[in-house]
Amino acid sequence: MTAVPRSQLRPLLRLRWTMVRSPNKRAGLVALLAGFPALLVLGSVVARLLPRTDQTGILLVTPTVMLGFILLAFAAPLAAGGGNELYPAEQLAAYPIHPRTQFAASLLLAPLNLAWVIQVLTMVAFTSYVFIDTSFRIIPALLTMLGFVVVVTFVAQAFAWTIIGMRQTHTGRWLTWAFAGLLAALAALSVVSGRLTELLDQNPLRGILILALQAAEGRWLAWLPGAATMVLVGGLGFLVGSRACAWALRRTPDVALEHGARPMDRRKEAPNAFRQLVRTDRASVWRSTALRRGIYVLALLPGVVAAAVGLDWASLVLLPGLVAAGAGLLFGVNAFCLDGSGALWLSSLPHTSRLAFWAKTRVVLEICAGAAFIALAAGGLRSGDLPTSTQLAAAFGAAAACCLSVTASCMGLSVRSPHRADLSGSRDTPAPPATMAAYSVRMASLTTFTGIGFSLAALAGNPLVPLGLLLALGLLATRRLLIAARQYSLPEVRARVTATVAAG
Amino acid sequence: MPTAVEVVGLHVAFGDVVAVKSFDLMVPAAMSVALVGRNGAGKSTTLRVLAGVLPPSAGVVTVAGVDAVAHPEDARALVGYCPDVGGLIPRATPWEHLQLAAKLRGLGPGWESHAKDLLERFDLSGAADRVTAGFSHGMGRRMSVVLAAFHSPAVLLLDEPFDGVDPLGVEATLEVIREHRLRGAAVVVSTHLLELAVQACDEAVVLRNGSVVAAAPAAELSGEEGARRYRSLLS
Repeated sequence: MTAVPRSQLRPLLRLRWTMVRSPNKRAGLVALLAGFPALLVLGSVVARLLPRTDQTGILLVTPTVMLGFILLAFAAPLAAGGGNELYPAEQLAAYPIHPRTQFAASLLLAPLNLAWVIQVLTMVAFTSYVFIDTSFRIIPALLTMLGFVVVVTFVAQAFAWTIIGMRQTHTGRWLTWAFAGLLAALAALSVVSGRLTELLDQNPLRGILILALQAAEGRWLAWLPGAATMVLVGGLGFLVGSRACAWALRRTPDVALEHGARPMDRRKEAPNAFRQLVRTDRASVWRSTALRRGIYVLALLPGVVAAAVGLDWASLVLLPGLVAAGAGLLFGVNAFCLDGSGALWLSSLPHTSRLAFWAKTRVVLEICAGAAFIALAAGGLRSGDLPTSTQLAAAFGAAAACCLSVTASCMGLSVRSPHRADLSGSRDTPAPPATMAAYSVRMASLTTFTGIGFSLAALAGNPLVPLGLLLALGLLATRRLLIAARQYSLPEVRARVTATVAAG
Repeated sequence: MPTAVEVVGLHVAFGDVVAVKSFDLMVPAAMSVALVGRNGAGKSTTLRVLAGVLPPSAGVVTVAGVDAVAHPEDARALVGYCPDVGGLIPRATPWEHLQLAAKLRGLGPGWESHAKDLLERFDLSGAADRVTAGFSHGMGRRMSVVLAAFHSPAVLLLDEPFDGVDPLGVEATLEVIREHRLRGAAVVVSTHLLELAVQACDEAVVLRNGSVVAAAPAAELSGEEGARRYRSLLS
């Protein structure tokens, strides 16, 4: 029997790095990796340069931000079926990869998540602002806060793997749904009873802030027990997580077996070829566990959170764009991968490239729009007064423009940078992890700037202004889609996309 | 017999890598030809060009009288293609594959009975409404042959149709090849299984490094002597 090498992670990372062939992409990755610590330093420095006008307010809200980070740290690996993967599972099936390596890889790749990065940046900036006085030692305070980030990430990954292990069976899935339902009911109760703010103010994460304060003041004896507890919890998180990961990966997923063996309902032929293609693509989306779960989470979670917090219409303008960006990242950035190895066969059928292109475009657009408008509607339920016509036009315009822009970006990327991705496993993503991180930055920037544009347009007080902006951005997106469609209609481009997504 | 497949001076390059060079092939109607050779000899690349999936770097490719380079869509209407890898949309069922192919090929309402018959012959009726991601490799190969053949194409292109397929599936595939040839279609089969190539085809073309090194009646490659001769052509 071969002994498991002590460090499998290093050669796996090296191979992943070798697989990035383009010098530009390598430079981009290095910039991405170096950019995060640089952003942390920048965030801290900028926060300390701000006027000292609202330290108390920031101090009060910091534990809530930390709670938000915890929620994200727990939700992200759950939504991703156990966190990011260095390689799709089937590519490593022939190698004796230890679950500990897989768990370590998912920990290492946890920061490749834009929401994670933004939340950590916010916490660092808030901590820097709270301890702005020169009498505080900021570096120990920040290190304490980053220690909290690491511990939460470890524990959250351990929790996610445990839940994923449980969800491999029918009973486990019922139990986890019941648990999720209970949490949702408690959250709804706290919102309805109007006690949410009170509960948030009482959240025990103030203890971490006190620990950071002890570090900032150099009261090391007082700081030590708390720090030791964090190290202990983090270590336990790693150990339990490794075992939970091994357990989850060992269990046979009955849901996959059920889906593979269960006959689908036979439907009549669609009235035309385009609709038949759309129907096939829709089936490819909704029959994928990873995509289905991602769509539900994206459509419901942000809207429910927005409703719980009671965002006003002015703030809601930013919400649908971020949801649309998330929906595009589920599969849209590599839409042709839905065909898998069937892409070769499909290409041999007599139809124009444009027909296939627009069918994929429609499915990407409808998923983005569905998720974005559901989130907007849910968020609007508790946004106080009825919106003015301008606010409504801005929110609608932001949602529609973001969906169109995201779809145009997705289809452009799908044609220019295809990847082989099966999307059948619960952890599958349409592109490698670092590429996905770069895509998420791109999509989030696009939709955030679009949202800000509509927020500004809403200030005009005339609904025609946001609608005019929608028309302009819609035309721009249409132009980009037409360019991508033209590129895809070139035989050599379609052949390259087909060969890449179909590679076995 | 009219020529169903005509390839003259085919050249396919992927950047600096030349996959096929100076390749000529003539397949008359009602005839079957086997493309044999080592891995990377250019067999699958040639079939992809014939199927209209891959544009050639140079050369003339005519399929059932249609210029496949200038009018790939028209050529695709005349061809049935079973790719070498997978060839199936993972989360679609066999029946949905057939519906999609029928719609894109503009087939009339009669296609369903023929499709059902083929599924029956390839022992896939029971799995017709299951997503293909759960299929074994052999089931996937059999389904790919069904999809290539069900519209009775003028040119049938089968890339590794016997790979991992059980004896009954092999028999069904051989039968389909025979039927297509008898009704006047040209069949091109790429395979590593020499004995099956001999059994299925009239002619055999041996490829090495993207070029044809020999072409002969398939029967000449049968038996031990044929295998010895074939091996000598590979290196």
